[in-house]
Amino acid sequence: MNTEIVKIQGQDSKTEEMILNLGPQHPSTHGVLRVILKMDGEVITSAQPDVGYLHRGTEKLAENRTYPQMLVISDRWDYLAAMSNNLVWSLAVEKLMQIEVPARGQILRVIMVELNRIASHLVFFGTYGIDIGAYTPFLYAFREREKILDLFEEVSGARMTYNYIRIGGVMADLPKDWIGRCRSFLEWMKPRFVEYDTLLTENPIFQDRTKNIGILPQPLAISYGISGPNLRGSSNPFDLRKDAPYCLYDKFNFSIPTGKNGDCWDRYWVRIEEMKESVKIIEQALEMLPEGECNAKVPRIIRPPIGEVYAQIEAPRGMLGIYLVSDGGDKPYRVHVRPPSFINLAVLQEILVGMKVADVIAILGSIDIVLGEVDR
Amino acid sequence: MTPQEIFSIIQAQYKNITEIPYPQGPHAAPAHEGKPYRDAHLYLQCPSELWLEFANFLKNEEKLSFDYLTFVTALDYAKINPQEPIRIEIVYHLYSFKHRHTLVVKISLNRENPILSSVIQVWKASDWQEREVYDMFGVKFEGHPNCSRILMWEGFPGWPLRKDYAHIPDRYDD
Repeated sequence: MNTEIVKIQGQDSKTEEMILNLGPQHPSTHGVLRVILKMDGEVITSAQPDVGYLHRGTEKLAENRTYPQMLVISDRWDYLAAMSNNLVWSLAVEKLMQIEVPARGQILRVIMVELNRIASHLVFFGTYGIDIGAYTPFLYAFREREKILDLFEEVSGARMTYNYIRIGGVMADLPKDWIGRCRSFLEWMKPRFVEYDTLLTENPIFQDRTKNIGILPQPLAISYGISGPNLRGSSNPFDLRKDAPYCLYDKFNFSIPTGKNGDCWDRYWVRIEEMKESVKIIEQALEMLPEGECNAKVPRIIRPPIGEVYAQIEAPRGMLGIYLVSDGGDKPYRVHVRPPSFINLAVLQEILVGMKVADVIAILGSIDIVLGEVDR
Repeated sequence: MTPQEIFSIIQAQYKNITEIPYPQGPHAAPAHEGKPYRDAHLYLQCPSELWLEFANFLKNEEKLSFDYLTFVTALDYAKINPQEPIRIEIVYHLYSFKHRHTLVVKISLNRENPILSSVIQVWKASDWQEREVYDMFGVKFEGHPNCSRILMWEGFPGWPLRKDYAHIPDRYDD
């Protein structure tokens, strides 16, 4: 009996490595980010993010600006959480000048930064839904964010680049009845989290798309310098509000949510829980808001002494730091921004490898970058 | 651990690494009544040829275990102060999750031809940040797999964050 050798059709055809260019102009890259993907079939073998399309040279601009002028530019790094940027710049200059901000100013800062954290995480929640294919959460998230922006407009006059937290304190005290409006917003906000859970968190399709996708193990996260919700998603409870408190954060009672596996769903869940914690912090802050001055005495011309300082805060996207070197003049000698988005984004080249091309956007969205901060 | 304890552990192993003293009064700057300020961390000066070995020591030594590279940046001392030598200084800011302590290491490089060994094998965080330093200051990192420009485009002339950088007029100027 003759054995017939069966030849499978297409057996000798070769697979070719394919290069897919994602971005820079693509809605799901959250700005202008380009990723060069090399694929074998639909499995990614190499990913190379390409940044710099939004580079505005912040650190160079700082050389020719006085300290208060630089505050205006700080608004433009992470434009979704501009209050945090204002705060970290003010903290760095105050540390260098050795200025102590009065308690009312500190608590006002905490209120604004935490409100901004909610607004920023809401944008994440909405756009992440869109990335995965759910349009409705976006409309819900922006409805709530609108109310926060209204509150910000009342205190600072702006809806995006607030410039509210100033060196030595804040721009102005709260307007009349603002506390009441803020309280009613918080009361209104609390039941919304249940809506989000039924809409997205517990949605089986959403869970299938995010669980066990884009796993970031804790040692890798630490080696890459990841911070913020991405690090906490990988079960490391590191939060500067607890570990290196600033602005009287040590007086507040709140917990740090952490994930278990470090996958996309954990990173998402950590942010949802953080919003709930922020609501708690703002409630406590409104309760303990002391009477009195909200601004420290600051000289008209800010001319800090010689020295170098590193100030860091827990921004919505992670550890935002300013490294500031002064030569005693009225302009900084060197300003370096430690941008959490830039450093978090670098890990993309590692965690995309081995994933399917359909998961790229889910993973990219879960890192939650703002390109204004990546490129500065 | 206090800065002094960290320093004594390092001194036992590396004699060449020195502590940078607290900044003293104004020299080049206009007279200032304020006292100089610096964060209460340990600041070390490391010779450039020793850096890679020292970085491995900092990470692997049990009592130190600096596992987190907070940031990398550079400073261009081209004209700050006539008494200080002209140089480029690379700043590594380190943190330890285990012991919760901080360390700043500075490495002085020749401004004409700055070369430093990359620590990408020790801390992966240095990958993009060293590229940024290369992009802005022209410091070459030996052993870096892809030491190219990151924020500016390939072919951009000059090193933007050096103090002697001058803008070359282009079609966007009036």
